[in-house]
Amino acid sequence: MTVEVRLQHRFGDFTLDAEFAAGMGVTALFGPSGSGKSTVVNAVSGLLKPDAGRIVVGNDVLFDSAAGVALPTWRRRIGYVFQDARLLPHLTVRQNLLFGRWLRRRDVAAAGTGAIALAHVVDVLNLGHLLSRRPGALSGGEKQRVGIGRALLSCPRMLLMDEPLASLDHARRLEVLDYLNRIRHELKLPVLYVTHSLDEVMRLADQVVLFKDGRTISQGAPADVLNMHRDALDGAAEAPGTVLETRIVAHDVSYGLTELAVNGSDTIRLRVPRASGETGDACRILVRERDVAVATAPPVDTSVLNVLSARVTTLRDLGDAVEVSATLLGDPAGTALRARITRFSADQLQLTAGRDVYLLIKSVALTR
Amino acid sequence: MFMSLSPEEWGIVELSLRIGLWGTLCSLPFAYAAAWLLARRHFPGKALLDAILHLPLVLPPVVVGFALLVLFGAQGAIGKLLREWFNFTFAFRWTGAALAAGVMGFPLLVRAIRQALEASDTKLEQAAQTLGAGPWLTFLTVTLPLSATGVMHGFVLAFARALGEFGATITFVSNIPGQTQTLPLAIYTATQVPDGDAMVWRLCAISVVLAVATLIFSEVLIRFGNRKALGYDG
Repeated sequence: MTVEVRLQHRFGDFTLDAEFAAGMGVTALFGPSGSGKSTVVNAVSGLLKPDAGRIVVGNDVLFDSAAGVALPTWRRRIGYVFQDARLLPHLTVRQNLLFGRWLRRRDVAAAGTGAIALAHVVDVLNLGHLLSRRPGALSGGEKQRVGIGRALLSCPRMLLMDEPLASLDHARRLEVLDYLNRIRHELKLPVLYVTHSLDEVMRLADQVVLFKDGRTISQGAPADVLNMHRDALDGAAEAPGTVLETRIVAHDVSYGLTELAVNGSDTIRLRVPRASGETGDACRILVRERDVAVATAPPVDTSVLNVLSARVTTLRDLGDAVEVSATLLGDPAGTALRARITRFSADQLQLTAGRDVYLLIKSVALTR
Repeated sequence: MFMSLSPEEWGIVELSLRIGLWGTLCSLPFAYAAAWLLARRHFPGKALLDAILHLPLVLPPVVVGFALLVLFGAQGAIGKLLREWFNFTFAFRWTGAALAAGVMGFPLLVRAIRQALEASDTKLEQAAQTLGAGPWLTFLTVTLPLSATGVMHGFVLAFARALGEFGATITFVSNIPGQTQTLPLAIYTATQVPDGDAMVWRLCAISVVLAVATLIFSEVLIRFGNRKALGYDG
């Protein structure tokens, strides 16, 4: 099932002009606050009626301004996880979970065994001990988990998540992220996930749609989009870096290390602090520019675990620093890494484009 | 004390409660609709509607009673139609007293419900819609329960006001024992007879007891409602 969205909407000075398609899995709508992402999900849910456009889920046209189609929210069958949870305060957790299921009992019956069961949702999201409580007695993370469960149980054909972690503290964020990751693999639904957090994109996204000033400027695989539009990330990442898709090759339990293969190539390996996941699992990592050092000769007797051969492609002058881009040798995908070094070092090493170098990677930000 | 009430006094209490309850109950749906319009909708003439709804609160009750007489009396514009079509009359009957009571309490009911609706978050209604609730189901499952405390508050105020209603009632449906003579009217009547002092005292005491009982009842209900909403009963 695919989702096609084309929207134009104006309010005040702000103009939204968005167009993208999303398939199964998590499509992150990513961009700074105020770039129009929430407006898009509100339009998809039907809570906001855009000035013009077309929204199609599978074979169903939910909105088409040209044809005069605008399905009301309650007929769209789109689950919505709000930033502020919005649980019904006068109902218990169990009643909240079953609210949408009861309203959509016909769809649930039609779906038969395809409809996700209450017991399963309670189990996966660990809600068992909360069922008889009311939302007023839940923590932020618990509320958000109930909100996710409630949306899942309402027999949706797609899910919208509008910054579901933004109002949580760090510990709760990690907790809910963990649950999201768990359900992500089970869901056979398109999910539009609004966020301005690079970390969440790295951990959850199968696809990224990049927003800027009310426009969709790029969409595609996370690593491609994120590495191509680095300016869009400057505000979001604590430090600029390169996103790499890797695969877990082995765990070294005694040293607490995990070995990763970059882009599925067998020759380029990275060793990182223990990552969670099974052997063979995909793992997306961020290699920060400041954590990459450059050497012109193979280093000996070094504590740095990761030494990769690469060829310098460009040097960018940043004043006192130089940003070195280099493609990894032996990688058919032509992955490029970037390093930030002092101009003094760049001059000492006489770096030029085309020069073969060794990239020394001290540590990487793991996202799983 | 209630044990020693005379059948006549019991009759007055029963009539007063009947008039107060029916009057307030029947005005409730209209009050809710008006409160919802004022809290949730923007339309031209909203300020005017707000002002008109408040009239019973600010006008002398006698004026309201006279207006009811003109509209709903036996010869009144609406009263005539009701008699011809439904063979129903307000004039000089307890139903008329209930109408007067309902009208006088109406603004209090509207104000309390409006406040509750303004305080309840429309975002919750949106959430219900994403889960499949249409407008009516959203109203029944979200809007109404979340404004229940306000409804209760307003109901108690309006009911108390209805129990005390005097001016509009006596102007509209007169002072007829067993039909329109509620507690305040009975007290007034007793003060007009030479040896009515004892009766006045007894009826005043009954009024106080009724008022206090109403307040306590509402307080209990509201506390119960709040406990539930805050999640302490899990």
